[in-house]
Amino acid sequence: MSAELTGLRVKEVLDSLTASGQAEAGEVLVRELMAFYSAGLARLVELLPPGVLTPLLDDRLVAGLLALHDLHPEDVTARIARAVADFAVEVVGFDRDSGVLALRKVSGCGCGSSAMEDVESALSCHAPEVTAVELERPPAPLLQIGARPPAAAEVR
Amino acid sequence: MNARPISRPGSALLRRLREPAPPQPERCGFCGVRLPSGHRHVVDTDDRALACTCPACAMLFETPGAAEGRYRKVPDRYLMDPAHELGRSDWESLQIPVSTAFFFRNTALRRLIALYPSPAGPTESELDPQTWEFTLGRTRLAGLLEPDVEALLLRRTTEGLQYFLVPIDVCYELVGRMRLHWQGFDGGSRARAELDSFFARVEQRARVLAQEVAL
Repeated sequence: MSAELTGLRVKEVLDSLTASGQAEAGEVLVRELMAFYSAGLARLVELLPPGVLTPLLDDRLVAGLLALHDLHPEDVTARIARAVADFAVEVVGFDRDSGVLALRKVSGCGCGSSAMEDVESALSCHAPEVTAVELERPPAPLLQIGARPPAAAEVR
Repeated sequence: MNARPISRPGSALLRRLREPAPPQPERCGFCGVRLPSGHRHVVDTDDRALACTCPACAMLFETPGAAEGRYRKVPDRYLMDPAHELGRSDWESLQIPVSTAFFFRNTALRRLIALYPSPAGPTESELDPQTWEFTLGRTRLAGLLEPDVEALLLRRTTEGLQYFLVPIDVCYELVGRMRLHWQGFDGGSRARAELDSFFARVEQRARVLAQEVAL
């Protein structure tokens, strides 16, 4: 379960309401419930002693819920760090205006596109502000393999 | 190096539905076309209700006998008669418990009906229509009043009595605004500010009656 999956299911139901006025009524129902839960969550976050939420913030469901309602106590940089912590990537930079997050692979291992999907899924829970990911190639290895060993170096 | 977009339609939908719904554009009660703000209304004389109309549908109901006269287009005129001689004692004879009220002539009941804004919406005065007829009936504005679609709007102020002939839909607009902003026993400062700005707009739009007669 995640905000994304829930949203997709809601969307599917709303899309099936085609008769005049039904989709609008459906949206109103969702809005009413979301407003209620959102207000309750906001109060909860406000009244909790500081720091109590911190151990929960690595949980994707909790983090996603708090982020959806703009109640997450951490800023976007910290949340991105949380999202990518389990993956072999590091953050190069995040552009708030475009929503583009630049990442770099840490190890030379062959992280395929499925690993990237996991990163994106984690990002959408922790940091929905990220709308696109840019993956830098790992830096070129320092050691150049030439045709001949550099003989001059050995003399020194 | 290309940025790979993350598509999250489900989350986007939930984020959108988190916010209160944007105001829905009003639609013509007859053909369903979307209407801009400031559109016209017709009075449903059977149900004593207002319906929003587009100009085309409003024109249809102007044809004599259309829908057996059930729908009547609300006119667009605002009139004032600075020479009206209504005073404080006249207001008291109307026995309106608040500072503002409007009166319209109901064709079905063949009498004046008095309504005033309240936190519960338009409230009808149950008092004697004969008195209203006697007090207001002798004014020039009352002589021009179109039944069902126009109203005589009165407000008691510290300076005296404001008196206008207005389209009936604006009276219900006033009732709606009062209901929205009403706080406490007497309406509170926001309701009073709404009332002031409403009457300022009415006064601005109103033509002085003497000119109307000269035309």
